[in-house]
Amino acid sequence: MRRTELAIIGAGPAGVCAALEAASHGVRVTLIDREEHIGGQLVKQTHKFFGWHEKSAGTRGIVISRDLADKVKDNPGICFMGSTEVLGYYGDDGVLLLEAPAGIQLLEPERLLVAAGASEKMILFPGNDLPGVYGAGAVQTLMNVRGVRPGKSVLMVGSGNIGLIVSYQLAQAGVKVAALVEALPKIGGYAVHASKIRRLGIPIYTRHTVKEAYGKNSVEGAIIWELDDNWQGIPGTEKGLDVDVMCLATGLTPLCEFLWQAGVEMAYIPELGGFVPLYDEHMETTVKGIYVAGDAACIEEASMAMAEGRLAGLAIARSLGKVPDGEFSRKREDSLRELEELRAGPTSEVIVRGLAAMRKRLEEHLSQEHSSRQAHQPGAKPDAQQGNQQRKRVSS
Amino acid sequence: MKPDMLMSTGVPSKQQIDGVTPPESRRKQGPFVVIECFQEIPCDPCYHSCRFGAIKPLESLNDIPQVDWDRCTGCGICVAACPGLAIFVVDEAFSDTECLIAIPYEFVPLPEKGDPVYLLDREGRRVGQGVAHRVVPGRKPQGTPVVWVRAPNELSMEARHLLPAEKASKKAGQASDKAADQASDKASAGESLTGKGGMNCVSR
Repeated sequence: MRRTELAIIGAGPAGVCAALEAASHGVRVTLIDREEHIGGQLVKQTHKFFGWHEKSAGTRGIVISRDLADKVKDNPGICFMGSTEVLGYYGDDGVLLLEAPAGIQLLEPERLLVAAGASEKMILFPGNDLPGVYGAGAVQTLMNVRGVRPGKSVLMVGSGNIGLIVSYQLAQAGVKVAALVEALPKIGGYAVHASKIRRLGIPIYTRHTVKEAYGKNSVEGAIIWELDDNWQGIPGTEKGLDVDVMCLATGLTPLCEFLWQAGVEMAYIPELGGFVPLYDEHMETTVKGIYVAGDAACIEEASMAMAEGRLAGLAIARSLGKVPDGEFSRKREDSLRELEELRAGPTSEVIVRGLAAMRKRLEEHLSQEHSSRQAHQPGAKPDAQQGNQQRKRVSS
Repeated sequence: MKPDMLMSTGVPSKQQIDGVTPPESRRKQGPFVVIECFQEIPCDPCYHSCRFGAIKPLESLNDIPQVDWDRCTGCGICVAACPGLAIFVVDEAFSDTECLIAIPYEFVPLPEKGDPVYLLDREGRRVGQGVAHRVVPGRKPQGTPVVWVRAPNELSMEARHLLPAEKASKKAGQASDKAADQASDKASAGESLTGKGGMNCVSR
C-alpha cells in the first residue's frame, strides 16, 4: 500500500492551489484526477477571469490551467496521478481505492482533501432524453477541448454565468444561439456577460422555460413558453424554435459522495447548491483530517475555489506541523480576507447567506456532539451515530 | 421586487448609459472612455491597466469603476483589459460626420483595416455601417483584440458590436438591412475624411 501525507481528489483550480500551497510547506502531496490533464474545468474556460489583477483577473481559464499544470509538474513534492478514478474512501482504514491506468491501487493518506467539483443538474421536460440535449459542460468539452461543434443552432437553458459564457463561446465557434431562456424574472449571472451576448443579437427570455423538445431520432426543435407567478406555463405564449441542440446550464450541485462515505456531517443548503459538507473556516469537515474546497464545498466561481484551495492547503500543512505560528496566522488572515472581499458584492449575497446557514448547522452539530459526549461516561459504548461522528483522525 | 431592465434583459437603460457618458464639453474635446459596467462584481483589471490614473482607485474589489474625465486620453488600453468586455472608447471629435468607436472583438477572422463592417447596437440590431479604421490584435496568447471603427456620428453612443459586412450580407431576412444599406452609403460618402483624432491610441 502506498502512503502519502495528503491525497487530493480533483486537480481543478481548488485541488491544484491546495496542492501547491501544501507542497510549498514541505507536505508530500498525491493529486488525483480522472482526466489526464491538470486544471479541471479551467481547460474549457476561454473567457477572462474576474477578481484581482494581482491574482488571475484578466487571465483566461485556459492560460491559468496551463500555468497551474506547469507549476505542478515542476514541483517535486507533488505526485500527479492522471486518468485515475477514485472508487471509494474507506474511513475505518483511512484508505482510498483507486483505479489507475496501471490497475487497482490503495492509497493511505494522512490527510484527505475532497476537491471533486460539481455535477450538473438536469431539468424535466418531454424530450429531455433526445440526443442533442446536452449539459453545458459537455458542450464546452466538445467545442473547447475537442474542437467539435455540437450542432447548428442551440437553445440555451439557464442564465447563470455558465449559460451566458457558453452562449458566447458557441457564437465564437460560429454556432447560432437561437435563444436563452431563464425561469427566474432576473438574469442569474454577471450583467456584463449578459450584455455581451445581447450585443451579438442573442435574445434572453426571462420568466420562460422549456415546454418540450421534439424530434424523431434527435432534437429537431423546441418549444418554450412564459411562466406565471406560480411557475406554471402560460398557454398561448408558446414559441417554436428551430434548434438541433439544447444546452442545459441549469445549475450545479456539489460532488460529495466521498464525504458521505467518510461519515462527514452533511446539510441541505440550497444557496450552496444542495447537500454540502459542514466545514469550519479552515475548510476542515466534521471528520478530523478530511478537508473540502471548491465547488465540492459550495457552488461558486473559480476565483473563490482557488482561494479556498490555498486556505485548505495551508491548514493541512499546519495540521501536519509544517507551518510556523507566525507564518500560519499571516497567510490565514490573507486567505480569509481574500475570500471575504471576493464575496463582498451583491453577486455573492446568496452564497454568504448559505455559508452563514452552513456555519450555524456546524455549531449546532458541534454543541450536540459536545453534550452527547458529556452524557456518556468515558468508556461507555457510543451509539451508532456518535461513532460515526467521532471517527479517528484519518489513518493516524 | 421587479428587477431592473439590465438584469431582466441584459441591456443597460438609457439612464445608466447617460450616467457613464462625460459632459458635452468633454465629449467635444476628443476620445473618451465609456465604461458600461453597472453591477458590483469582484474585478479590478481596468483600474490597473490605466497608466494615466483616469480610473479612480477602487476602495473595494466590488466597486464600480469611476472615471476622471480630465485624465482620460481615450487611449483604449482598458478596452482590451476589461474581462467583461464592457469598456468602449468613443471619439466624437474625429471628423464632422464620423466618430471613432473602439470595440473589443473576440471573433475570427478579425476585420482588416479598411474593411466595411455592420454596426450593431446593445440589442444586436444592425443600426448602420462603418469601416474598420484600425485593428489592434490582442497580445498573444490571450489578449482581447480591439477594432476601432469609423461610424456615423449619431451612432457614437449606440453602436457596440460589429459584424464583417460581407458575411452579414449573406444572412437573409434581417429587418434592418435597408437601414444598414442607407447608413452604408453615408459612411462611404464620408470615407475620404480622415481625421487625426483617432490616432492617439496606444501602440503595442
